[in-house]
This record gives sequence, C-alpha cells and structure tokens, in this order.
Amino acid sequence: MLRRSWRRQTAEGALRHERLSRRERDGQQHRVVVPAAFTSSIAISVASASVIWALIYSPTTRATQAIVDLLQLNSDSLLQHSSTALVAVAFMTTWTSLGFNFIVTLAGIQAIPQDLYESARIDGASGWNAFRFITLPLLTPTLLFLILISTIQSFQAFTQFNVLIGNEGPDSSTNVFVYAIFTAFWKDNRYGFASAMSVVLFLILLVLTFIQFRLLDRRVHYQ
Amino acid sequence: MNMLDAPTSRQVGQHALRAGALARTILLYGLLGLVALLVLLPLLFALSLALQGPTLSPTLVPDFGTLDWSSFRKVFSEEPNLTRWIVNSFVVSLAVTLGQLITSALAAYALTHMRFPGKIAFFFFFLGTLMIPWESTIIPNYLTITRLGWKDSYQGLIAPFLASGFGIFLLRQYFLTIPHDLYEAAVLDGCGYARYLWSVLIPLSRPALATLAVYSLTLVPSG
Repeated sequence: MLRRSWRRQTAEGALRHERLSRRERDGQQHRVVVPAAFTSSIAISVASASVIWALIYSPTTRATQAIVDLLQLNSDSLLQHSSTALVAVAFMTTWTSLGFNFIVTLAGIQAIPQDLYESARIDGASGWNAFRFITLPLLTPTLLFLILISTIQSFQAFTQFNVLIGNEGPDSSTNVFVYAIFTAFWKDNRYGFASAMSVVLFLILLVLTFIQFRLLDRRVHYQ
Repeated sequence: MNMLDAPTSRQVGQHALRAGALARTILLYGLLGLVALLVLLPLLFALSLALQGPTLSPTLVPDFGTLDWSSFRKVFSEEPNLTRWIVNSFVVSLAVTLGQLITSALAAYALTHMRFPGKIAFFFFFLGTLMIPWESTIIPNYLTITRLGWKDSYQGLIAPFLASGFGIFLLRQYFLTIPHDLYEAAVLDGCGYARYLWSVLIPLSRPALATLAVYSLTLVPSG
C-alpha cells in the first residue's frame, strides 16, 4: 500500500515537474533564440542547401578562396580537386543535418529528470561530471537513434552530389553508391544492373544497422 | 567610521563571485552567439545573394546602399501558382504530420511497453523501411494511388505517408528514456494501456513529439 502510493506520487511528481520546468523555461528568452539559430537548417531541404553551398564553394563568390590558397590547390574551387571534393560535400552535409541532430538531442536532454542533477549537486558533482555521469548515459537511447539514422542517411546521400558536383567528381572521388546507381540507370541505361545495386545497398544497410544496433544497444542505458 | 565603509571579506567574496558569474555568462553568450552565427552564415549568404539582383559576380556581403528586393517579388509574379502550391503543401503537411504522430506513438508504445512474440522482428521491419531510398518507392506508390483512383487528390498525397519507420524509431528511443517505474506505478494503480499512453507518456514526450512534428512538417513540402 505504501509502495503503491509512493509510486503514484512519483508519477504525479514527474508530470508536475514537467509542467513546472516548462513554465520556468518560458521566462528565459535565450533558451528560444539560440536553439532557433541552431535548428534553422532543419527548415532547408537538401536540394536548397546544396544550391547555397554550391554558391559558397563557387570561385565567383570567392567565399572559400582563402582555403583554396592555403591548401595550394591547383584548381579553382574545393569541389574541383580530388583530395578536397568529398570533404567539402561532407562538410555541407554536416551543416544540413545539424538542425535535425540538434533538435533531437535537445528533446532527449529535456527528458532527463531535473532531480537527478539536484541530487548530483548535493553530492558535489556538477558541470563536467554531471554531464559525463547523468546527461551522457541517459542520452544514449537518443544517441543510438542519431547514429543509426545518420549512417543510413549518409549511405543514401545523393542530392548534394548531384547538385554540387553533377558528375563523378574529380578522379571519381565523389562517386558514391547512390550516384553510381543513378549513373547506371539514367546514363548507361543498365536498368537490371542499377536495380541489383539498389538491392545490394539495402542489404549493406540492413547488415550495418543490425551490427550497429547489436554492438551499441548493449551499452545503451535504458531507465 | 572608516571601518564601516570597508567591505567585509564576505562581501568581497560575494562580489567576486558575482563578477565571476557575470564573466562566465558573457563568455557563454559570446561563444553561443559565435557558433550560432557560423551556423546561420550559409542562410545569411543566400539572403545576401538574393538581394544583389542579377549580377554575374556576386560578393559575400551585399552593398547595403543598393539592395535589390525584386528577386522576391519575381518569385511570386513569375510563378502565379505559388500561393496555391503553398496552400497544398500546408494542407498535406498538416494531415501527414498528424497521421504520423498518431501511428508512430501507438507503434512505439507497443514496441516499448507490451510483450508479444516477434517484437524485435517488427522493430527491424520498421527500421528496414528507412533503408529503402524514398526515390525507389515513388513509382510503386504512384501506381497504387492511380489504381485507387486518387490521382490529383489530397488523399493521394497524404495516405502513402501516414506511417513512417522514422517516427516509430524516434519515439521508441524516447519512450525508453522515460523511467519504467512510472509505468509500473500506473499499472499498480489500475491504469490501463490507453490511459497510461494518453495521460502520462504523451504529456512527458512532448519534446519528442514536437521534434517529429517539425521534422515531418518540413520534410513533406521538400520531399
């Protein structure tokens, strides 16, 4: 009986706490403005982001000229050199997916009960230790989600390669899996071959995700 | 007396503490602002280019004396159907988002709180739908919609996307971060499956539900 009422109080307490912390959050403007900036890239499709970054990398706007000069590349832009093209596309992809990863992580952090931090502070742990021993372990389910989703999305990346590069890239350095499927289907008209490649990509992702899940799920802390 | 004017050591300590806190806050805001600016830079760059009018050599920062807003007017005048497209996107996004929230929450709830044979298999089945590029589902979806006689209709645009493996996975991971004690307490109190979902899990999962809503709202118009 005692146990029962205690547990009910826990449930009610958690809900009340949720509402309370929401009210506290409402008063703090910086908790709106900064997240809004970090989340902004979620509102941009990969295609639009690719157009923006095509202009940033373009030699006419000279926005990345300093990096080209610094690396002493014998090409006009980062996208035209085999050693930097893939990194440049990867950087653009990171920026594009930043908003999504940020907002999911933020939601995950908001799920962590505040009283855990309070008891940690009483025990003398704060700052880095609170992050290392409370935030990080309790965030692992969310991080597992982000790792799996990012892996899948990276393997399926196509739009940015098509818009930014538009071919196999310098020395085929940006010829990724889906771009190769695209070339086989639309340029070489090898329909059966392209379909087979799609199935292989699916199987690769299935196996990879399964391995990731098996390896990481053991280390994930579920409450 | 002079002694009264001199601050006590405790006051000095508090003063130093306050100054330290202030310095930390300024540093924190400075860093946050800097990173936010870096994240926003590509967007500001796109805005800058849009305001420079038809030029062959756009620059990073526009000439603020001659801002050309005509590009924005042209978007509407040269695409008279734009308003219609926006309305269409809005209706479809809203319906799809609502549908995805309902189906994902129910599926994730079953995967996290119920016991039934083949749970892992179902989970990997949902996960597997993420590994098929959406481009390869366009044609089968189109054929299904055509056979149903839903071509050129809202339900044809909405129905194929009412459930998503992405939403199920996201909410599954989030539901797992919520302490299981709450569930046991609720069940002990005679709370049924439906009521626990509706009055405990959903209110506690608002951050994740909002994330999913934002994601599907922004994905539908672009995808």
